Parts: sequence; structure tokens; C-alpha cells
Amino acid sequence: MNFLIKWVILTSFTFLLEQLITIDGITLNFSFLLIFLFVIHYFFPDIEQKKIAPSELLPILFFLMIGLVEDLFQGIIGPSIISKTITGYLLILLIKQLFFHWTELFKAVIICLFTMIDELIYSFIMIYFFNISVGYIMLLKTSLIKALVNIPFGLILSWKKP
Amino acid sequence: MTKRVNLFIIVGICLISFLLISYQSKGLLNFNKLDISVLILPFQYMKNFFSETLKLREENKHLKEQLYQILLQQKSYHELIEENKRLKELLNLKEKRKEVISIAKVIRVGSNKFLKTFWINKGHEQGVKVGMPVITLNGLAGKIIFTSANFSEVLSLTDPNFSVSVRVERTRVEGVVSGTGTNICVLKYIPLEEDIAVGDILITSGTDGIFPEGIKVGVVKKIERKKGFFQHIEVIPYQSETKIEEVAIVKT
Repeated sequence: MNFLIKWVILTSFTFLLEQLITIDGITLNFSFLLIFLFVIHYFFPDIEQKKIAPSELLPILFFLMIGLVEDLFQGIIGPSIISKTITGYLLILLIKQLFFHWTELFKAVIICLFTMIDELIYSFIMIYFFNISVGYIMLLKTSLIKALVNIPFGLILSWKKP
Repeated sequence: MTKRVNLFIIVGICLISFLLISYQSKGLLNFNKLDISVLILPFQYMKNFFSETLKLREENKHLKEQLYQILLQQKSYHELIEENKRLKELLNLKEKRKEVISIAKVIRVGSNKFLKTFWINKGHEQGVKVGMPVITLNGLAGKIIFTSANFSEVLSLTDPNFSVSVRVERTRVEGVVSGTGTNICVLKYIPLEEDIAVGDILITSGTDGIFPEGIKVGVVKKIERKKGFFQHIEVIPYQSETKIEEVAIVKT
């Protein structure tokens, strides 16, 4: 129950921040940080509660919910669900590879890379289905800005984890 | 086995989502945007409070100076307006009225992922409808793309998805101004032989049926005559999107 309340509060706060903060008209992608934090906390729990093989179903449902909430804010259901689910699952696959050494630098690269993947999947769906005109260089620039902004927040929130 | 089930679930989620997206893109299915402007508003006020206090003092001083200048000019303007009216009556010209629906305050920058938008504190309860033009004292600012009861989202003039038919004030040549996603707009469909100069003023032509005639849009900044049929013209909008505080919603 505590786990649920904690994540509901964190999710609400994140989406509130996402609606409030913009950088030069660019909205930020804090919702990916939720996915990153959830995956980190779920697959690398504290030693006392350590599970042998945690199920992937709960994280997938979480990605779906986050995507759905984000889509509700945009008024189009679907694109964020797809981007968040795919990005989240790719993150799970990466986290399960035990040979990676999770340094802060590695985490920063992962946050940056996966935020960009999330943004690009979302953008290509919107461009393909809704013919939204947007320059590709501009798209890369905004994705990169969002990814770079996510790095410090992600590192602070996942400090000393895993 | 579990991995396969998970993959199956993900593929299922994606397929259902794609189905929903394609229905929405064809307009067969519509979902209302989750509007939390009421929740955000107190935080937004707090955020703007300090910067606005400083700005207001400076603005007050500036406005007082302007007021004195305007008072001096007012008298001559009144005479000109009266003269203009008399002349128009003589010419039997019917002046098209631009009816202002409401004056609104910009409450925050839009949270739309793709579109350059901003939110205003007037919605369909105040008579605001989707598609209505939004202007400021400087010129055209955008158009309404979403309304809730007391709030509306405005698509900014500089967004690439925004277009407005315009006329060059000096030569009466008509074209289309579109946003680029930056602070600069482009004037399209002006043939190579047309006379356009840097500094030319662009006003709405009213031929698109959305924006009323005569609203100031921008000034020509740069002209390039490349190969092809049309000139490449950059335009600086009269209304900078970062400096919009109050807007008027106009009925077309």
C-alpha cells in the first residue's frame, strides 16, 4: 500500500512539474524519469527485500499507466503509451544484463539515450499519423535538450542506486 | 516462457494503441484533453509573482510617459478619425467590424509536446470558440485550438502548423505567412517578379476566412531570390511570443 501511495504522489507531482516548467517554450519529459526510477527501484531493491527474479509485468503496467496519463494531457491516446512501453521494456532488458557496471556516468548516458528514444518514438508516431510539421533538426535539438535536462534530475533521484 | 508472455503483452499494447491512434487521426474517435489549469494556476501565479512585481514598476513608469504623449496626440487623431468617417461615408464604404469577444490574460506557456502554444484564462463560457483569432495591441498572436470552460489553448503565430493569408501593405501583393518553430516566420508564395523590400509591413488579407482583414502580422526581414517560382522571405512577427501578457479574442 505504501509503495502504491508513494508512486501515486510521485507521479502526480512529476506531471504537475511537467505542466509547469518549460525551457524557451520546450516542454520537458520528466515522465521518463518516473520510468527510470521505477525500473531502478524495482529491479535493484534494498537488500532486505531483494527478490530472486522480479516479474516484468508490474513495470510494464506502470509504463502503460504513465503513457496513458501523458496522452490524456495531450488529448491523443496512444503515442505515449507506445513510446513509454517500448522505452521502458528496453530499459528492463538493459538492466537485466548483469555485465554493466552502473556508475553515475553510465546512468547519465542511459538517461540521456533513453529519453531521446522515448521522444523520437513519440515524435515519429505523431508526424506519421497526424502530419504535424516539424523540422527534423529542431526535433533532434528539442529531444536532446529534454534528455540533457533529465540527466541531473535522474542522477539526484537515483543517487547511489543500484 | 515469461519473457514470451511479456513480449506478447507489449505487442498487444502497441497494436491497440496504433488502432486508437489511427482512429483518432481520421477523426473517428476523439478524446478530451485533461485540463488541469485550475490546479496549476496557483503555482503559476507564485512563479510569476516576483518577476511581475519588478516588471510592473518599470512598466508603470513607461506607461505614464506614454499616456502623456498619447494625450497630446489624441486631439489630432480624433480629427483624423472624424475626417476619415466622413470620407468613407462619401465613398459608401462599409467598414467591416472586428468584434472582440473577450480580453484574456496569458496564464502559462502550453504543455503541448509539438505545438508552440500558450494558455489564456477565457474559455467557452466566455464565448471563446476553436478557430477564433487571437490578437494583441501589437498584432496577430495566434488562434484558438482548444477550449475548456474557463481556459483556452492558443496556437502561436510562430508554430510551423500556423498559417495566415497576408497582404503586403505597400504593394498589396498577397501571400501566406507560416511559422517555422523559431522566432522568425516565412512569407510564402510570392512570385520572383513581385516587388518586396526589407521593412515591408504585412497585414492579414482576410481571404482565408479565419482572420479578419487588416491585422498587423509582421515585417519583412530578409529576402532571397533563389531558383524556382517563389521568393524566400523571412518575417519578424510584430508580436513576440515570449512577451504576450494580454490578448483579445476576435470574432471572424
